[in-house]
Amino acid sequence: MSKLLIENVGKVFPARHGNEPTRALMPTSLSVADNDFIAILGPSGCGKSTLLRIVGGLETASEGRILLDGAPVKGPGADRGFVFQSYTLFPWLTVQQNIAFGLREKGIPEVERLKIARDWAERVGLGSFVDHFPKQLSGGMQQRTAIARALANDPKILLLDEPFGALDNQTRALMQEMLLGIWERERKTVLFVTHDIEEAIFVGSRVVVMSKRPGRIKADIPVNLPHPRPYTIKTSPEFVALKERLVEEIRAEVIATAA
Amino acid sequence: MKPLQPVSTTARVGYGLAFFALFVALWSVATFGGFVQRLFLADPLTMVSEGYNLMVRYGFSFDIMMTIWRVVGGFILAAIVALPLGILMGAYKPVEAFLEPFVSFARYLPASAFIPLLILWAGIGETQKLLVIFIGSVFQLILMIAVSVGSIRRDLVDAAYTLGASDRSVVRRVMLPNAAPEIAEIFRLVLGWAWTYVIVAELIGSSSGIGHMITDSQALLNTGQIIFGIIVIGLIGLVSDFLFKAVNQRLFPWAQA
Repeated sequence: MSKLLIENVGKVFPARHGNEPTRALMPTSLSVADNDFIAILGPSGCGKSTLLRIVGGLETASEGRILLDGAPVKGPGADRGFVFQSYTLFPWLTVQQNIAFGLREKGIPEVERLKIARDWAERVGLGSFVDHFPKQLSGGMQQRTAIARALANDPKILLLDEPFGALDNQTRALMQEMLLGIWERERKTVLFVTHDIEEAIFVGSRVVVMSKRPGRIKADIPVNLPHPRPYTIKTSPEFVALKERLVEEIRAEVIATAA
Repeated sequence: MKPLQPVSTTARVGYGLAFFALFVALWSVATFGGFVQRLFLADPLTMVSEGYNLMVRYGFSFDIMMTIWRVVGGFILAAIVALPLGILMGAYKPVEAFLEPFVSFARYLPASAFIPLLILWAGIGETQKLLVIFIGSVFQLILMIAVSVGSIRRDLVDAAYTLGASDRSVVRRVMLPNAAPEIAEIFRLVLGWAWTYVIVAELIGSSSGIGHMITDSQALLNTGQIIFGIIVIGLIGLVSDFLFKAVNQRLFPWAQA
């Protein structure tokens, strides 16, 4: 049985200031198995973030429905962890308090939630930064904290919206490895939105390619690379072949958008 | 000078003091040099000796305490009313739609114009003084707090919801702490405005306070005393500003640049 079921979910933004209504997302269906790591890849503005935000409950779908473990999704909730592209740590809380934010909502006693938060801080390599405020951290450290904050809630699924998009290339590569390491250990179900082809192949066990706006699923390609994946895999022939194929798919969409 | 190039702390203090020195120097030239008649403007030395008289012989420190108590009392009352209203307006749009037009209107009603009415309603006692400060600051506070609470980044609210926060939690655990440093800054600013109202309130129908002393001195044409009173107000403002800034930095280390 699939963990997450997206059934004919589409999005039309209503007409504003005399403009026509705009369709951001064609009715889209996708079935996500338990422990799957799906990378959703598409050109900018193709509606991939909209789809993820609908799954997260931050936007409502104009049509279709989303089932998580068989139950329909209505609004945001702690069962779906979300990591944003922008830095969304609460600036008035320390790293540890940020990670413990959702645990407090669940009513877990302070001693225990701080222990869980410390534990997660260590798992993302921030054990010695628990008492730092977000402004004292680099972008990569902030996003690691955001991932820990989402995972500390023990969600059924982790949703990541271009979480490394604002980071420099080197940091980005390290973050991909860290995320993959966590997934290999924890076996969470993950939806990962990105426009970076290499990133999608490296982290994903399936890459879903979306068309230009209004977005629809154009291809659904399994990534049969072994785990654990060292960063050196990016130069292996299988990786390069897959990359070439995806470059063609995306290129066609970008050209169609520009035309 | 290069644009935006910072100055060292010592240089900053030095420049700041230099302007005070320049100000006193110009004042001295104008008065000692005989360019302005003594009747209209006392010279700095007269001002200091009149100030000494006020403090030592006329018990001016009691007036100062009265004025401080009125400002602080009226301001605290205004803050107690404005804080919950401002937070509700900032967080909940229907509350904002309900209150915002009236508060915006009331904000422009000059507090000093209420003094005759307030004397009629509350007499010339302390209640009337406190009410002037209250009316003068409460509407400003409500509006400014509402704006600062409502101007939270949308993605911080989204993040809280995805972490399982309830609507109440979003207000209490996200919007409120997010706005707290700015609210403290608003308090500092509006307290400064409250000082203007208190003096006006004390100019009319009062038997104590800095404003009362100033009207008395006007009757005696004692400009030295008037200027001393004004300078005392300025100094108190400076000290309270400094205290507010220090407390804010203590309370909100995460918000410091």
